[in-house]
This record gives sequence, structure tokens and C-alpha cells, in this order.
Amino acid sequence: MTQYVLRRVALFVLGLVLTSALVFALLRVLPGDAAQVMGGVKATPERLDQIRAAYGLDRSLPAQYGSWLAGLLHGDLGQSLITGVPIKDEITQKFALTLPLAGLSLLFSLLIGVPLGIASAVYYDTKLGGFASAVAQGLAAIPIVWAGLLLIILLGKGAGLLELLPSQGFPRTGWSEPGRAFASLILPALAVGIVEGAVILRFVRSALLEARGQDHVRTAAALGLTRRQALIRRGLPGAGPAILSVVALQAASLIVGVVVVEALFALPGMGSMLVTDVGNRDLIKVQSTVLVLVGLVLLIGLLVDIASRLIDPRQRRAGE
Amino acid sequence: MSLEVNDLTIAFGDQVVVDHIGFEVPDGARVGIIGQSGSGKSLTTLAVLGLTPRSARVTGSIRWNGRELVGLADKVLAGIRGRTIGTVFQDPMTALDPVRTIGKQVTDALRNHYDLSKAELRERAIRALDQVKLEDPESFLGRYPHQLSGGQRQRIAIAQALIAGPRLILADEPTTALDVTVQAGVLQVFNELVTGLGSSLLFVTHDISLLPLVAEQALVMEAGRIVERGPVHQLIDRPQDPVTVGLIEAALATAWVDGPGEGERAPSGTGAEVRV
Repeated sequence: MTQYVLRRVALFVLGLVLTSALVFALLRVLPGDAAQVMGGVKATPERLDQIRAAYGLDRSLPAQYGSWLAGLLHGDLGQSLITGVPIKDEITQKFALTLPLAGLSLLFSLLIGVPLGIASAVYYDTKLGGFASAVAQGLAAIPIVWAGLLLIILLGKGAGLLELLPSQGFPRTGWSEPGRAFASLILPALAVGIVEGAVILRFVRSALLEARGQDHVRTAAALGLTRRQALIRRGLPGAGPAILSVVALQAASLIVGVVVVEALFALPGMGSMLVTDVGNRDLIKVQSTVLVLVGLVLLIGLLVDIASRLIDPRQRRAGE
Repeated sequence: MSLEVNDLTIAFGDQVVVDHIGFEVPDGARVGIIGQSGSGKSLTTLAVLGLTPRSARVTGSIRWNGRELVGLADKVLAGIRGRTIGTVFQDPMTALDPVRTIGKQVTDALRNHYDLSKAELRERAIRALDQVKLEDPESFLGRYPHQLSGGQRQRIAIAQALIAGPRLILADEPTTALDVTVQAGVLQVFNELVTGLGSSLLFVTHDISLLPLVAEQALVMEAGRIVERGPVHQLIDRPQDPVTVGLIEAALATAWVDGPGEGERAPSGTGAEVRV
């Protein structure tokens, strides 16, 4: 197992390095110029050259990539081209909003997806089960923006029918007022959670429906469990690794979803920051931010792979 | 405790797959059900357990120890399954849980029905594995099904079904998936255990040559009906129905392919002895 973890971590690092190269290359292809943004539309070519030289944008691409990578190895993500603020500080600050938002979204998606997935598999041949499955199909297909808008219209303060929860912004005081801060994350997290949860629901449902026909689930019932107990207690663990890997895949789309809802709900998190930075062609900041986000997704993949080995003995080698 | 089946019918929509059958397994008796696949024999055993597919409609009567099982709530049936009625299923590759240890699943019936301490469960598990003649039974407790051979798995499936000392044992082709050489050993272990418990047995198979080893009486099923019944030796020596004759010929053909070479063909009508 230790050997497997080491190998898997090595793969994670390799993934990060490849990502860094890819992100760097893609951003150089992007049209637009930070110097132009900083200098303004009226800047002379000489002025633009000056700005480029000041920020090292005139160096060769391999040199730029090299110095960025060297900085990363020391934990230095660089400085914003536009504001000059260290990127690490700004990301850390934005994470205080984005990480809880992503965590809450994941929690909602699991709370929606897993129990409803189980229920819709257990009652698959009833009208209710068919209805649940159709609703899930529909929810999985709607864009997160639209889900967010609907939630604002239904529940949002100032705009909604019920005016239950804040729908715009994050308290200036941040987490020093935990109640208010938390409340402002509920609707956006719910928007992501409903859509992602619907996808998880469908996977849990189909994994359990498959388990329904498995011989060992029948054996469990023949040994004294009720049919439902056999399905849930014996069928679900077998489907565990499959469900886990779907959750890992969903983590990537969850982070995209978080970026989207931050813009929609005017939350000053990583997503909103990224959107602004891309507009400003703040290349170093964008590439560092994207790398951090990709790193997060890769990390979730790593943890899920290890967890799925732990719960599934078939994936382990002899002696583990 | 006896099992009495009367007028049992199982249908999927308009399609009747078990058609008004009736039979009895008296206390301590051993009855075989023989038929080709699709004859309804496996569904009959599932109906006794209340485990037919949900789309199946089961009517008629199955009385176990005087109690009507047809229509009984699943919760009540679960209290019977594994405790007074034990079941050994066909395919040892898939019938065991792939993600739980042997030690756990072999004691499932005990844990479902009785409140035993961990130490007691462990002791019972070791004893059960020993009874199915697994060498060094303790070493199996922490292992998983995918680490074992087919014969070992089927012995575990037997230990699992019999651990709570059921009064009736349902066996659905328990040795069919095994090699012929392994089959004989597993069947012998199974026989000894059933004899030891003094339980009744309902043994389902398509292989008529196994019948003399496990049953005194047998029913021949075809397309959901019982076409012939009687003492096993009589069915084999003087088969009346063409279906029974066909099953004997099928057993002989297999014996001929699996068994001795050409020129050692077994005399017809004594298919039972060929494989033994």
C-alpha cells in the first residue's frame, strides 16, 4: 500500500508539472497583452516595451516558464502584473471564501445525490421512483447559472418570493461574522449542489440497480437480511469505488461550477478574481491561480484513488 | 418440520413459469428436483425463500412448519431465511461478497439472527470452516473470495448456509460450477453436514447422476410442471416420462465426454453410477 501511495503521489507531481507547462503555453496563445492593459489604449510602442521589460515579458518563453517554475518550487507564485500584490497572499485570502463554498457545494451534492440515489433504486419500479429519476435527469441537464437564478428568484433576499437567504455578496467583515458569512454561501452552494448532486444521484441509482441483480446480494438476503437491507448494506459497498470515482470526476466540474456561481452571486472568491484577471491579461496570476485549482482537482483524484483501494480488497495486492 | 407446497404458480405477466405444482419435503427427508434450465426448479426454491424477482407473481401455498410463507412480509421471511431455512446457491464465483472477509460473511446468518459475542462468532466461524474440511480454517478468516479457488469458495458457501443449523436446506445446483474432481469432494462434505444436522434437503440439479448421492425421492420438472416423481432409483431404473429419459441420456453423454475413454461406455439405464 505504501508503495502504491508513493507511486500515486509521484504521478500527482508529474501531473502538476505537465499542467504547469500546458497552462503556460495556452496563456501565451491567448490574444491580448498585459502591457497594453497597464499602459492604456493610448500608450506608445516605446512605453509598452518599457512595461514589458520591467515585468520580464520581453524574455524568451522558456526563460519566463523557467523562472515561474523556479518560483513555484520555493512556494512563490509570483506577483500580479497589474496590482503588484503577491499572488499567494491574494489566493490565500480568496480561498477563505472559495474553499468553504466548494466544500459546502460538495456536501450538498452528496446529501442530495446519495440518499436520493438509494431511494430511487429501492423504489425503482414505483411511480415515485420513476418520477425521481426523471427529475434527476432534468436537473443534471440544467446549467448551474440557471439553477442559481431560479434559487435567487425563489428564495433570495431582495429578489425572491420567500426572501429567506442572502443572494448577493459576502459580508465585508468576512468570517468574523460566521452566521452571515455562512448564510451568504448557502444559495450558491445549493445551486452547484443540486446540479452536481443530480449527476451523483444517477450514478448511485444505476450502481445499485446493477447490484440488485447480483448473486451475492441475493445470498445476503438468503442469510437473513430483508431484501432492502441486502441491497443497501451489501450492494452499496460493492458500488463504493465506482461512486467515489464519479465524485472525483465531479470535483472538477464542481470547481468550474463554483467559479460560475461566484460571479452570479457577486462573491469575491477565486472565481470572480480569475474572471477579472483573464480580462486584464494578468498572465502570471492567471496561470498560478489555474495551477492551484488544477492541483486541487488532482489532489482530490489522488485521495479518491487511495480511498477506493482501502475500501475495495480486490484492488489491493497480496500482502497489503 | 416439513415443507408442503401446494398449487404453487409463478408467473411473469402472462407467462406462467411454474404451473400449479405441489410436493412435500417431510421432516428429515431428502428430495431432489431435477430438470433442465428454464424448467422452473430454481424459481421454486426462490419462492420458498420469498426471493423471486419482484416482477414475478407467486400464488398457491408454501407451508413451512405449518406456517404459510406465500404473501408473508419480507421482514418476517427474513427472520426465517438463514435461521431455519439455509440456502446454498450455484455459482461460488459470484455468490460470495467480494468486499467482505470470509470470517465476516461465513457468520452472517448467526449475526443476523442471534446476539453472539465477537469471540463466539470467531469460534463458530473456525468450527464451520473446519466442518467443510478447509485446512487451517483460521487462516481463511481474514481472506477475501477472490483469493480462493472455486472449490474453496463453494465450501465456504456451504458453511455459510449451514452455520445456524437450519432445519431445511435448499441447494440450487451447489456443485454445477465446479470441476468434476472438485465436485465429488464438495458433495461429500455437503452430504456429511446435512446428515449431521439431520435436516431436510431440497436439492435442485440438472444432473441426474448426482441424485442417488443426495436424495431418496425426486421430482422431474419440465416447463413449469412436475412430469414424474418417485424414489430416485426407480426414476433412474425405470423412467416413465420422455423428459426423465432425456435427462438420463444427457448425464450419460456428459459422463462419456468427461469420464473414461472410448469403449468404456456405461451400460444404459445406470447413469447414476457413472460419475460416482
